[in-house]
Amino acid sequence: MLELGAGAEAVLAAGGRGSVTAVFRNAAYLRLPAGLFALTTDDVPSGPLHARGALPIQRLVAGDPVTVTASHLYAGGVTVDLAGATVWRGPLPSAGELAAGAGVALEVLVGAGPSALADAAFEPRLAGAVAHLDRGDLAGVVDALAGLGPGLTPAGDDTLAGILLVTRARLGPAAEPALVEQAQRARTNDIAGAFMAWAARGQSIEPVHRFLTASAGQDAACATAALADLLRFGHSSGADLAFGLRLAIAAIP
Amino acid sequence: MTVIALPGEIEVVNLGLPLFADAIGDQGRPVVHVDWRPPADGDLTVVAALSRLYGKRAAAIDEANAEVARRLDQGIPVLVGIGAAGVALPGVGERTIVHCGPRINWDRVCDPLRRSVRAAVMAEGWADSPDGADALLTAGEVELEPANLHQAVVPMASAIGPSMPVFVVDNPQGGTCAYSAINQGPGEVPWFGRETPAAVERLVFLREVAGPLLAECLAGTGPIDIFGLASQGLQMGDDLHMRTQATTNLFVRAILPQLLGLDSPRRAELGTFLAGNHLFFLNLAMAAAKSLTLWAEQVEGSSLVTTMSRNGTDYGIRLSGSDEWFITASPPVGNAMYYSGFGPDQAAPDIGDSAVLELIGLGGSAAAASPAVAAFVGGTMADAIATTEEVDRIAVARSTRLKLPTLDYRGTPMGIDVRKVVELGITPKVNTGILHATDGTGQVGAGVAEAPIECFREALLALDRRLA
Repeated sequence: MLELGAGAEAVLAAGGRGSVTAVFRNAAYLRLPAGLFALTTDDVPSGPLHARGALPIQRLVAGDPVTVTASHLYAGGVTVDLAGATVWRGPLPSAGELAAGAGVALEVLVGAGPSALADAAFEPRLAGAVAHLDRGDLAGVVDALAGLGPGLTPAGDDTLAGILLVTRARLGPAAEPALVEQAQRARTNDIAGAFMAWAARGQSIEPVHRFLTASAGQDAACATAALADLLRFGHSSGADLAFGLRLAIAAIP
Repeated sequence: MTVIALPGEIEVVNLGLPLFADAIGDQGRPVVHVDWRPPADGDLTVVAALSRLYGKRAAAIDEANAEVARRLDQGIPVLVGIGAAGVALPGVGERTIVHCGPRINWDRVCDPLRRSVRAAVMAEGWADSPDGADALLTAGEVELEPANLHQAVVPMASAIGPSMPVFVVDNPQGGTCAYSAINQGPGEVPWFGRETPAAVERLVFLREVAGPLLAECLAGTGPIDIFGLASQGLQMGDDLHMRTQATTNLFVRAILPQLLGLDSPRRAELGTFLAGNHLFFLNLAMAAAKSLTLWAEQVEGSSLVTTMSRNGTDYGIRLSGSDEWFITASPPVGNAMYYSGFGPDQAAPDIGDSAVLELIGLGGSAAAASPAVAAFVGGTMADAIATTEEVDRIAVARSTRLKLPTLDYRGTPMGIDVRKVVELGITPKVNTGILHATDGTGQVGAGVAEAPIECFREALLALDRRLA
């Protein structure tokens, strides 16, 4: 059974033809007219850009043609039946719940590993970002962090995604257009840009949502387990996302 | 603390994933992208095999490959006549239907080929309805045999019974002989997965009219040099797979005196059939290609592909010097254009023996020759040239007789090296038609199919074991 994140659902619903952009061990990124999404194996967490299932990812090669119809996705030699796919959306706590759980969240986040941005080389930009965040200047935060650091999704972008997600939870759906606009200002690669845009719409990978809702419910044990799952995501992306959550939660007025 | 002064201007060389280069380019900065990826997708078992096949065994393999390439390039296939399949094809029994692709049991045969086989059974007079034909096939009272195992090749969903006429193509240099059916033409025809009365009638027409009259023409012309015509057709916009219009015209011109001299009341029917069949030469080119691969496959120890064939269910390849098939699921045709009202949901997987053309420098290898093919690979001649250039990366030689005007008369790439295919992850591109998957509509589009990598990977590992 295929599970679609909100972003993957939107891209596939628009259909059309495109190509495979990049292939990794358990995920392949596909570009279609409406944007990017990822075909992933079941062991990758749910996420806004993920189309998860028992998929033979390794049969795909970058450059393979992709065609999406109302019922099927054809990518290289892989055919994916879209009929009956379920749609996953990560739940977000309300602003009040988020504030109430901030103490638990920050306490648990102490156990997160260091972000790639902890390297001294990034200290000036990071200090600038924190200062902008404390002033509520999100545009300044984006300018300071976008594209910064290592990774397929640069560490600065993952950190920004955490900040955007918490900000979206705090300000509610009405803030989405402004947050998406900020995410789209980031000068970075398309994959990182797409993840940030969906964070601005309140959607990130599943352990992030589990962490926030557990924290909001004052459930430190569940939040700790969720954080452990988050830290296993990507090479350093999980830690960088957690770092963004910590910065944004700490900045809640 | 050491202070490193960063340059004021940054120019980037990007290796690997193009998305980083795209991001830099989108920001207006100079970037050079190097299309590098780990060999064999980083599969360590395969990389180890490649290391041996490119290492200590390379000299012997390269020598064998050079001989295979020489045979593919220097055989001169000639059309010498027409015979009945049951008599001409070695080892074909009286109740046998010869079909495209690797061996397959009736219960796994895809819908278009099922219809074509049933039409062939009806044309033989063994059944008078599709249901009757199906009953015979289900009961095992009609034998199915792959054409490739009987020195023959047939395009798309073709299936032929023992009474059907076949072209006889000799390769005197190699002492080989190959066969192909007469192309069935457009419309309601079994090779497109039809089994209507009109489709069966077309087979009867080929047997009763086209076969005998063409045989009479050929008796008058003498042997016809197939690649002599094909090399001219290539200069006239044919790729000799998806488009054979020009070469078909050249062939009709070659037999025109004999055609007009036929003393038959059905001569005009043959003329009408030829005038309406722009793919007539396809089967001749395929038989010629098969006569070359039959010679080439006798070379031991080569890493070159000498069989590439699909039955709509399975995709199979063989390497020179071995009878072993390497089979994987037949993929959908990726780069495709469909007739109005049809799309990938209705499309059958890749099918037919015609991929033999891509092994000897025609079809996808010759895409750069054909504006007609360009429409399927991006729309411009630059796209068509890029298709040929990609095949060039996995080939070991270039044809000395099949020349590409758009590439300053460079020869088409030929001799597909399984080592290069697996190392680079580039599989042959096959120009082909697309049939309806389920309802017998017939052809619903055309496109350029990419061979699946899995069978090449298995073939490489088997070659490594065989040469150990």
